[in-house]
Amino acid sequence: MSIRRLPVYILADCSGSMNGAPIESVKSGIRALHSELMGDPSAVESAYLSVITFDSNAQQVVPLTEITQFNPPDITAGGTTAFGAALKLLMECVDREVRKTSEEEKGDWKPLIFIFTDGAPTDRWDENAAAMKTNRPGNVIAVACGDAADPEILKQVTETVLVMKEMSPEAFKQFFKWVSASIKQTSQKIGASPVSPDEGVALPPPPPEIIIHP
Amino acid sequence: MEYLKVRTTEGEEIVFEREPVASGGEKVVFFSKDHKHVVGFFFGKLDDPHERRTRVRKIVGDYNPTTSGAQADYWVKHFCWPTAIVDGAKHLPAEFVRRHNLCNPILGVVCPAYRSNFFFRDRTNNVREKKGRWFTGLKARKLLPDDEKGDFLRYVQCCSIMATAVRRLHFAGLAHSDLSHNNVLIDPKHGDACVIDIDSLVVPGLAPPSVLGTPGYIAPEVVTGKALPSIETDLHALAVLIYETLLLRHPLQGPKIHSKSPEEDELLAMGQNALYIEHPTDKSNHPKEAPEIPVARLGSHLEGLFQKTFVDGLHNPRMRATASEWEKALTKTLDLIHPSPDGKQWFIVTRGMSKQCPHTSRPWPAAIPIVDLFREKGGGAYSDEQHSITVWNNRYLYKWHMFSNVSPQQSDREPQAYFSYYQDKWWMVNQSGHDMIIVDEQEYLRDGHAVEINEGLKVLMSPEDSGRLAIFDFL
Repeated sequence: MSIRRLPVYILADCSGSMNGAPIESVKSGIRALHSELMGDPSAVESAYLSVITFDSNAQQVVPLTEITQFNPPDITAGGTTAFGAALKLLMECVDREVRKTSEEEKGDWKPLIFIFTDGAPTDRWDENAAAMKTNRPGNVIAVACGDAADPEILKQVTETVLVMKEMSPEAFKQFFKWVSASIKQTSQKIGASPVSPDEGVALPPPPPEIIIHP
Repeated sequence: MEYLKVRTTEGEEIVFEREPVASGGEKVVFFSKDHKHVVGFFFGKLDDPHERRTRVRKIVGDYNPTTSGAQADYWVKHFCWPTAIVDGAKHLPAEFVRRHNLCNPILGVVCPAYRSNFFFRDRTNNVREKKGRWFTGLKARKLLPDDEKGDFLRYVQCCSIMATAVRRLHFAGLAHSDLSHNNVLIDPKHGDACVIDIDSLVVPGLAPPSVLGTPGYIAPEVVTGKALPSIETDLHALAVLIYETLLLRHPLQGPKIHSKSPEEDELLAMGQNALYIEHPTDKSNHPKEAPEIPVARLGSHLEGLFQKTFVDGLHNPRMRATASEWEKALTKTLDLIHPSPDGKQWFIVTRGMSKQCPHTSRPWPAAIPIVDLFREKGGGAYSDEQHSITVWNNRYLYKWHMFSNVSPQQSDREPQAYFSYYQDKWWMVNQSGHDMIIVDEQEYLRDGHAVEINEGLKVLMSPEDSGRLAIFDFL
């Protein structure tokens, strides 16, 4: 009897504006995230990671992979911000990769989805955002990075929107630390806690660099 | 490395590292400068600041088994018990307090650092704490170095210490309230264990803490919201821990589906509809493929207590096996353990059980002597104690085997006798310093002498009142 998987999707904006320090921060952030999770036996048991990047197109650079098999991807920045395409691809991936409960088999946990973007979408995104809100493919946390990102757009995708004003390496580092703490907490605390299952997951308080967008 | 200072309520100064070493659900934890202690500060808003202070004070003070009393030396090894309190620390830098969102006024507990054998280096050369989950999770286990994995005997020893530690808490009326594989460190290399996160104990007369436990270990009546953590709910968690440690699977996680929604399904599977995966009559949650090592291979002492806890007591907390019952059953089970044919593992074998080792799938090729223990009822009559010892070459007997009124806890570790397979015969050698009696032959088994073991041999191990009678048989 295998234990339920906790799928985690990271949607990373890799458009041209992320070039330089920001993209390097994201790369080292994902590496740090992976090594943090490797140190937590509960996360090792249940968490699965996938990375989807978007520039002029959207691509799944790492399919949903168990922590011990995960290789941090090499990603580059360039192009525009195909946010709508990324949301569409995310929903396809969740649909394909996340096991649903069947008559015979227990399904996966509701995925944790972290989206971060530093600019306005350059494609049609509103329909896919609306679909995300209706379908609720998981517990979605969206982060608007820097001045050019519009948290109101992210609000069309999920209720949980955070703002990271500064795109410094330290801010990214703190962000990924928080992501790993969220995954660890969820992989431990998910499940039969005596709370209503509709309440979603309780995440740790974000670091000072990141504020909750009301 | 930068350091900060605080003072405990006892006036002792603690210098600690500015960067945290760990962060949990309620506390952020820092190493002291000498790495001999850690200080954990509560963060967020405490919903019961007054109650919590009183609770922590009582835990560090009145209820502390590690500072005085019998066996304090033993408990200090197997509990990471808080030693001091930090209550209010106005001079800590505001930036530090804000960054870690420390509660106001500041409250912290000082604990000893874990002993060094509770750390290991993983395959990526990082130092990790030996949380039980590393050893019971099938994927996590793969990241362990082979020499840390230990053998089956050591896992039984780890469980024995856990049961003893929990028995000690319950004896004082305390409940741990969050026993789980995150809050018990185990060291299967040496058969050692330590219960951690002592600061959220349920203390008699005070409201229970807000922590309801860790999923998978929370008793069904807490999952369904009908009860709060207590000694009875600890007994559920303890049984889950022992089952997982010995069998590497969860006793309630079976294939039975209760709901389409995984969250709802889990809530039912651990709460209202919880069902043992080895339930003797209701097979609806049995794994599709029978487990390689069914619970029966742990012997009747443990199998019986699992049945008591996960069948009779699953939805009826008062029926659960107590920590003291677990402790005794584990002690008896340690007496049934036998080396596997390859000499690298151990397995449990006694009357009615296969002589094939389930860990190595190899059968033991020869007869195995077994001893049944009896205690005198008075007037020359003896009663069967349902306690057997499986004999192997070079196995020792200790005082707790010889006397019905000595427990392993109280006894020294001086061997009193041993068994030997020598020149194709089995022998029992007395080294207790006193004479034993070979009952049917009306002869003494003198100190330093041996008697050949045959079916039906009866040895009175001590003529004293509590001396036990041993009767031999072969499997």
